[in-house]
Amino acid sequence: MGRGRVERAAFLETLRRQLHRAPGPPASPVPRSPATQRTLDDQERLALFVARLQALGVMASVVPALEDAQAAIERLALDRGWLSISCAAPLRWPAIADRWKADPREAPFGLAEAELAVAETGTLLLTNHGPFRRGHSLLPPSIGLVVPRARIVTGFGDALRWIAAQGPELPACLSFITGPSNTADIASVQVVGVHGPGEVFVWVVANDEVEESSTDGPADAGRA
Amino acid sequence: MSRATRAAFDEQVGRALGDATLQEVIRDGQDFMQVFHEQARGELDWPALLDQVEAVRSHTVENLDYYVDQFAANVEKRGGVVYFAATAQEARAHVLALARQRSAKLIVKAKSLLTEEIGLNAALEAAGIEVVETDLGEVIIQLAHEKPFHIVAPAIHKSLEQIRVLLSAAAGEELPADPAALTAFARRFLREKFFAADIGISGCNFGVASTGSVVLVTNEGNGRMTTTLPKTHVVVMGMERLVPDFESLEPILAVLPWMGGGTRMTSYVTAISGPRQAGDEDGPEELHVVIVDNGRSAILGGKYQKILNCIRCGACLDVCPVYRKIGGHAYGAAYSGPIGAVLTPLLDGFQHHPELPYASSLCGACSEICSARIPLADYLLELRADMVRLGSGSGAWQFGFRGFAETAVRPRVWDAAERLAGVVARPLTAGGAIRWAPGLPGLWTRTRDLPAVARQSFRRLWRRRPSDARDGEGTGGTRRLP
Repeated sequence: MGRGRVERAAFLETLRRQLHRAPGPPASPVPRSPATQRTLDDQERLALFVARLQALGVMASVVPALEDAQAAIERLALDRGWLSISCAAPLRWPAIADRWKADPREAPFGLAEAELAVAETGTLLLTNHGPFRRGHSLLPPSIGLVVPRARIVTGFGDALRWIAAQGPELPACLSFITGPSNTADIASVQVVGVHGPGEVFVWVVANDEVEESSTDGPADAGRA
Repeated sequence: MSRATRAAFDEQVGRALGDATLQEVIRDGQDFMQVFHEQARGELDWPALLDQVEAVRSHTVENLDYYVDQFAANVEKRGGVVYFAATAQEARAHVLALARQRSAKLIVKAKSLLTEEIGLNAALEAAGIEVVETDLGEVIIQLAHEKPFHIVAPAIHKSLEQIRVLLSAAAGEELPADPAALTAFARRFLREKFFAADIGISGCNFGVASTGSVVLVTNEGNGRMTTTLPKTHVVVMGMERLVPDFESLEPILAVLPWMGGGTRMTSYVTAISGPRQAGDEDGPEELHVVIVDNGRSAILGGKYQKILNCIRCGACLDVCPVYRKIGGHAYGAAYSGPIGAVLTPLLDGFQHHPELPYASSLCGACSEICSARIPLADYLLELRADMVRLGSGSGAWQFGFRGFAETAVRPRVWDAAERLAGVVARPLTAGGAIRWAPGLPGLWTRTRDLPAVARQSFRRLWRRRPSDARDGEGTGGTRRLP
């Protein structure tokens, strides 16, 4: 037995002794929360999500199709003079092929697709794996997030249950993003963009034309 | 953990009480947060949520050996390396060894109360390694060489001008007194550090046992930067900071953002499950998790066990009338306010922090607000009792209470003592109050007036009350109501 194993065994034995517990799983199941969140229909969920985003200072738009979101991003890049956009290769489209960049370090704008969105908190969940870098939604001063309308769930608990349903093989990083990076550490004055992006755009694609990911959608995320 | 002497405690209290600006800052900060507490209670089924938080935390702590084992096994399955540290010294030594093995010159850190508790920065700096805090509040207090003033908002006590001076010194140029400009400087300054750092050290708000995930709850994004850019990510976490699974986080993440920062959700909740996996284009190549005991196991199984349920929301600080006056530095440790007054003596020994259980009015506001329903006020009282049982306190203190106990059970001695007190107090009394007194009573009159001793004691008044009021006394019958 290696030194690490000995330390671990001794460490756990101390806890067991203090707790007067025999080795093995808990005698009682994990306490589960009763459902407390409200029930919303699709339209209410979308309206609440957009309202929450706007309250957070996020520029939120609902567009009919993915192409409309892409067109909006192209216009934004032109207006702002963004010469590069950092984005994972599978999300790129040809119209602005000269601007795509994988490395987000110097890019003024980063683009990512959300796996899920939470209406009650105005949150988007990104799964970071393979080419879907953590940095795309973190390092640029402005970011855009695209989410199909059908992936909006009501409460944060729905998103947590969706993660739990994915099993143990999670991506190395899951990022819940709720508005811009912010701080009030200087004189309690709210300032955005302290480390992460100070500006967040969200496009909700109403007819779900963003390519479906391989994982189960939010339809399976509801409480049993 | 630093140890506060009585003199240091008194000095910090005196400093806080004498600083009118600081008094205003603390008061405004508490009042500001209490508005959000009310908003949260109005928006959510608050009592039910707190019951759920308590249930999840109690279940986890009651079965902590199982969940620590499960968490560690799952971290390893994901390619992480787990180390168990029984003491602060072991934790420091392990992180230092990791840094040395990687010839680290620069370490960036996300906010972590545990690393403050174990004195990690000092150990790394003593080895010649530059350690840079990256939470803006932590940056400010690192530049000021101070401890956190508040467990959520560490630099809440610093004025805009004080912060401007500190950041200007770091910038090597005069910066304007503008929070946005100062924050912009911090972003530029720290981004260079993030890109250059060899190691990123973070704490862990919650470890998810079923997946081995480390969950960080932040607003600024420095937690994400620290866990994304350096090649090596080291997590230093208290062993109790676990939940069984992701679903268990639901009530906790409904409560923590409101109580800690007055929002429905923090800007970022990040779940790290191992180092970067095959095919990932970013993220650290190595993940090390240091699970620290440092006095926690001694609390397990005992009457204070629920203190380990704490989710570090800071709400107890925001309602405490004592914190409101003395501020965070008087607590002399990483944890301030009621949670610090209970946790610090338990982790580090009563004898090293004898003032802390008394840094409370026992009003119970902390117990009432606590997100995890920890009976903080009861614990403070219990700690005082334990300290007396263990013989803590000065000779005069012990003598005083022993004398009181002897006097209080002897009516004649008590009467004599009352009369003596009246005689002694008379020359010190002016305008209905005693404003100065020598010796032990002087500790009281140094900061407050002592009411004048009444001309007649309650007992004498009781004896002299009209005879009809005494009817029924001592008969065991029904007492006549007025």
